[in-house]
Amino acid sequence: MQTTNQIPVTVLTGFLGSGKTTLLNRILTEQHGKRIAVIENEFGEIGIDNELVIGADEEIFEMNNGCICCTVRGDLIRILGNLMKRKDRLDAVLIETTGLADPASVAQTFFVDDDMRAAFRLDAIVTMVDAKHVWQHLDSSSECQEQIAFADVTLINKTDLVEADGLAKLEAKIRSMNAVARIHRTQDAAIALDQILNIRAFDLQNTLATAPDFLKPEMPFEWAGVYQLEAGSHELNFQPGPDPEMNFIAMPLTDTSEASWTAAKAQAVRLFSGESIEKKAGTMVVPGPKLQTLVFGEGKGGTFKLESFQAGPVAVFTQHHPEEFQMTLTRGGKILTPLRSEGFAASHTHDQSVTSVGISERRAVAPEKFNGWLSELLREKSTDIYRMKGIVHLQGSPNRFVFQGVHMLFDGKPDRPWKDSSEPGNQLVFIGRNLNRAELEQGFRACLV
Amino acid sequence: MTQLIFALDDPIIALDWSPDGRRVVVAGISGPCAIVDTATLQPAHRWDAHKGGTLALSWSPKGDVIATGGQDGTLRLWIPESGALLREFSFDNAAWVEHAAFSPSGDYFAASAGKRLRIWKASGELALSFDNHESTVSSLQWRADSKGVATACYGKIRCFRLGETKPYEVLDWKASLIALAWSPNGRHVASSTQENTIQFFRLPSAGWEPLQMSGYPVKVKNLTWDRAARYLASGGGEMITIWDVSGSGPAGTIPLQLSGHPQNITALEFQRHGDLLASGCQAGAVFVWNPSQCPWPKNEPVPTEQRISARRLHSTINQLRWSPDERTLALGCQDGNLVLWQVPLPRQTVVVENAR
Repeated sequence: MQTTNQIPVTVLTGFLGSGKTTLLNRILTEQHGKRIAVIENEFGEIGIDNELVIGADEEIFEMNNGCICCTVRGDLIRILGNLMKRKDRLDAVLIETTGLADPASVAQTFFVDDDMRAAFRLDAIVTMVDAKHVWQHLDSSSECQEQIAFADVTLINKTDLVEADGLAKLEAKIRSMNAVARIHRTQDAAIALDQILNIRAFDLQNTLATAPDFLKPEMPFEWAGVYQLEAGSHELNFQPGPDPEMNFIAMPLTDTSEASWTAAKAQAVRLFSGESIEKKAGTMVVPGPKLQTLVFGEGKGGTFKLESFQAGPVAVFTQHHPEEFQMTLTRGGKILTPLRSEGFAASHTHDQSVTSVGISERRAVAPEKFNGWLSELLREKSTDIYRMKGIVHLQGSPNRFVFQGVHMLFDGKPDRPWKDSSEPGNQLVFIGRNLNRAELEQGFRACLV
Repeated sequence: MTQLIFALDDPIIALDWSPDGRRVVVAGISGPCAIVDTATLQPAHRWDAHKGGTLALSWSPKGDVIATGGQDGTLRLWIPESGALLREFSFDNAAWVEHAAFSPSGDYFAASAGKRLRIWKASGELALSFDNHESTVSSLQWRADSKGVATACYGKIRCFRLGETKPYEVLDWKASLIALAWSPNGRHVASSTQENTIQFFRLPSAGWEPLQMSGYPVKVKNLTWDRAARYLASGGGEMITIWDVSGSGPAGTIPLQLSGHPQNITALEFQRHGDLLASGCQAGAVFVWNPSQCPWPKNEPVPTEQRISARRLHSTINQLRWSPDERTLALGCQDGNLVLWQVPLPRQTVVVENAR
């Protein structure tokens, strides 16, 4: 399969009213000098007279290839089959899907059909959400959850309708479902074209560049940071977030060295599995090696007094990412910034079924075992696994092996050689419903040489 | 070398001969059409037929009119002598008019746009209308006797008879059906699928199960029957696969395979009165074969390279049509060239009746 001459395809999903048409109109009227074909899901929806705007009837065809969830879009095969023969080369293709459509059939079209595979390259799935109204669908609509799970890029649009804390809350919620999507906040769908077209989001390497914490070791806390405290009172402030309470540790450090930091993290892991002391909003928290549960109450935030007996560095560990609660630590009304901080993969969920699982491992993989494991996984779990991407270190191969999948369809190929002996390693991402992290990790580890 | 070239400068998506073989009409993918004199390869007329692009064309067997279908959702009739627009028909939907064909008799023309099929009398009077295909019509073909048409779409092939509002045969196969080929004697319909297979249906279909032929490396876009309705030639990869439907075939038979094309087959057509098969491929190679004189494999497939003429062009062969006298091939290429190739035939292979 060639990779250089293929035309990048961006799939645009999102509910009615999220701003898809506004975005398409913007792209068609901006002076960007690019030839971009736009396939709209309804004839004449975009009021712009342009030969590269083509209306499509969503024609979803089942494939008799032994896979119950494999469908392709027949209309796209016909329309793009015509466009790819044209003399003037296209720079990009943008495909709009209806609000209720499963983006999988669009993505699968570019894996299954020979002509489409040869001429086009699925570049990214972009999901638009209405910052205000998406909450109505987030927990109840499986289509909405799937669109967020499938996304390589999520645009939180209509940011002018929601306050800043509401946006942070939404971003945290989306991040908890899909850990690797790039998230942009937009108003009137204003986004630079190079953020959504030809971004090579299907390449895991690029994905991880935007979500660097995702493949880090899983910890019982999502965030840790070191603050330099003075002796005396500080204030810990939390805005309403996704949960009514959160586990928390504030622990004095002897110094700011790497060794102390590593030791503190190891200690915090042990403490997080132990007993905790409940602290109600308004009460005092004293730095020390103990786990505390800060209780905010349903839909509420809270302020806690952090009393330090001496000046010095204090390590803070939070169960959820502090952004979800817009945590601030202040002294005399002045916000303190951490000396250092680190994010970690979440080992918990907010009681939701759509999540992401990342696996990172340096050792080489036995090709037959890996192949067997993946085949079985696809056979048994493909309806629940919406997306997967990976870079794999196959035993005996000088090249990276890269793969991506949408439901049962899987596309894997040898990629460029590893740069040097320190580079080889495996990085895998799964996004889906009811994913069992332990089972996935165990299955993958069994393939290691 | 007997070769003439006309440059349309737009990838050729459709072409047809005038019934007297003196002119060829070509359509480019972005819309231009040209009528070209076959003796001089000079264009007599050139015009833009459809905004957005032309998709289909057909020259009436009576010679007096050319029909084109396009992305603007219209079917248009043109006067070959002047290139002037004669009439326009619409389908009351916004879909592309992807298929347009005159009946072999020249008395009717049929066209489809999206899920809609229409047949008009040559006078322009609507003769048949059917709006209820499950998906966009992917193929449309006239019966050899001009009494009806067959259509393919997702999951179904329908056979329509003029004068009846409903199809007289509905053939079910749960798959995305692509190309359709109706045998000249009307007894078989073959259709290729998105899953790289071919289905054979027998007519009338009552009591017959469709046969599936699989094993193609890519999907089959080209199907053509020989004049005797015995051989069905199919593209789908670099090899041409030919099935023999005589006797109980093609069930349980080994097909003839013709090899030599360096890339995937893109165009394929049997002569209408002779035995020769012409093929074109992505790499620009054009071959002429006589399958009835090739050694048919007995126990296992043994591809043969036994072709009788070859020509190498420099661009994908999008369209290939035998001239009415079946001596010349009109080749419509991706680079926008129309090439007329007078096929040099060895004496013994000149068409002989009852050669088999």
